[in-house]
Amino acid sequence: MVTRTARGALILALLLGGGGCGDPRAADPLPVGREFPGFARSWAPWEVVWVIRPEDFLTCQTVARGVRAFQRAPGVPVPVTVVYVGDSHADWVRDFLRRQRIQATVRTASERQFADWFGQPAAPRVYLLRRGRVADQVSARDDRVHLARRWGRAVGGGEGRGGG
Amino acid sequence: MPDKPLRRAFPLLMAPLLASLQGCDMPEPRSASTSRIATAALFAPATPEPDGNAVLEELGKPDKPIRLEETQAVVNVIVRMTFDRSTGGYLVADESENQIRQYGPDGELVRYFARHGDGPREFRFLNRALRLSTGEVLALDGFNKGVVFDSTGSRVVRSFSTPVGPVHSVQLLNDSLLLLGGEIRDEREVTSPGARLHLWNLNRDTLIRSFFTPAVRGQARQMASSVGGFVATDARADTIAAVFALTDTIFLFDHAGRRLGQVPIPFRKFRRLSESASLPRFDEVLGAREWVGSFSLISHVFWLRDGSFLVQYQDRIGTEPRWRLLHMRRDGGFILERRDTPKLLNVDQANDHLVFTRPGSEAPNEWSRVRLAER
Repeated sequence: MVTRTARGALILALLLGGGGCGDPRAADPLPVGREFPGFARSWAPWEVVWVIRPEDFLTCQTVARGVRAFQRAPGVPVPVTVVYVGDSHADWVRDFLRRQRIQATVRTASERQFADWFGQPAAPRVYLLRRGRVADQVSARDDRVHLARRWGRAVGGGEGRGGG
Repeated sequence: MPDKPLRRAFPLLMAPLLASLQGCDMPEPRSASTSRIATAALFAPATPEPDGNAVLEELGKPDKPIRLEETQAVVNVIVRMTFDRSTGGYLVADESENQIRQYGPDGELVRYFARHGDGPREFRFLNRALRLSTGEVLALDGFNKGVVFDSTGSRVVRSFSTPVGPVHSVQLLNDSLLLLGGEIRDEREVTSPGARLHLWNLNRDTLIRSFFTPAVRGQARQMASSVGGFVATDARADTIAAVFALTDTIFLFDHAGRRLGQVPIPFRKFRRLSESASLPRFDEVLGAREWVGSFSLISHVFWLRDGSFLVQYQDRIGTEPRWRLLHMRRDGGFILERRDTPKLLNVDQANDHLVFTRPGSEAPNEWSRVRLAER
């Protein structure tokens, strides 16, 4: 029989995954001014790049509502690229984005590739890029962040409405 | 159970997982996953199943499709629908946007209210919105919160907290009695350990009784019931029909929670959870998700006017459910079972109109309504 404690631990393990939601050891965000490699870019003047790992979209709260609201806000359309850092199941990420009604180009990278490119492990972050360089970033686990309000004016749009 | 900080965080951790298990909707079969569990064969039957539209025609007569109106501020993401008897339209609760929408019969947006947050008009995991006989709108969060709005959603009439969370099902039995399906995780609140149905008095905001404790024996079943232990209900007159995700039986209760009987569900394609199969490693999330996809989960039961039942269940690949529908007689006789159906959102008890997501639709704001054929 599985004890109540063991079951609780298992649920948490399932929920938290390997890296874990809110894992204090999570990597730092990429600093402002850091250039993104071409594969992750759409080459638009302003663009959003969402770095996501399996545990980030399978178990944790995500910034999906904020990204969705940002995409629907009036103003200049800003392309969204999702960089999926994982060795398999990129199709699951596409399903997740479709269910969340987020239009994005999905690029995949292994954890090693990501570390090679950036010199550090992937962290779940959403980046606003200006000409390919980090202009701002937010945690991708923050389900309250209002991206339309935060970035809307900078990219030439309104503040947007709705949740974010 | 987890220690105190984790216990407090539990709803926030549990809800996204449950939301993705319960709420999402992707009716079209997709290409085979790269899953290490060999699920592909399960989704490639020797005899091709009819496509979603053919299934609807098999069930009855499809009406013209309904497209729910959307705006910049209104987008349907994870939706649960109830019929709005006062208008002939629909009330939609969106768990992702935490927004309640009133739609007309043809999908026109009448109004919307509520939003994400912790305030009086706000929700974290909005589960359901129902019209009360007073005209007010009752809204339930997935974790412990209920709010009664006035008929237009412009004012909060009152709010209350329940010990139930996560909430899997919500059924209004009469003006004062609400049936909540789900778990009570705070042991101080539990009067019947393991019970998954709870009668809530809306006039007094009190829990009257908890009942329905499905047997969960074996390590695999215990784990599965912890992460996918859905309970679903429907009611006719003074009888409640209830199902549990892992048990191939419909249980019948009266409004006091007394058991009246049970009917075996004559599944032919349901993938039962095996206790003999090895359990996955739970230290990495992909393996756990693959394991959850290795067995079927009953998600809904609908009780039709002729006494027959529709049982909806799901097989999962990754984050996506594949919906299956079984139609059975009141005595347990088999009528039909179909795989890869569009998701059945709800059945109007007044006329047996079935509302599905539209086959092939990428978004949950396109619906198909079907008048059930007599059999």
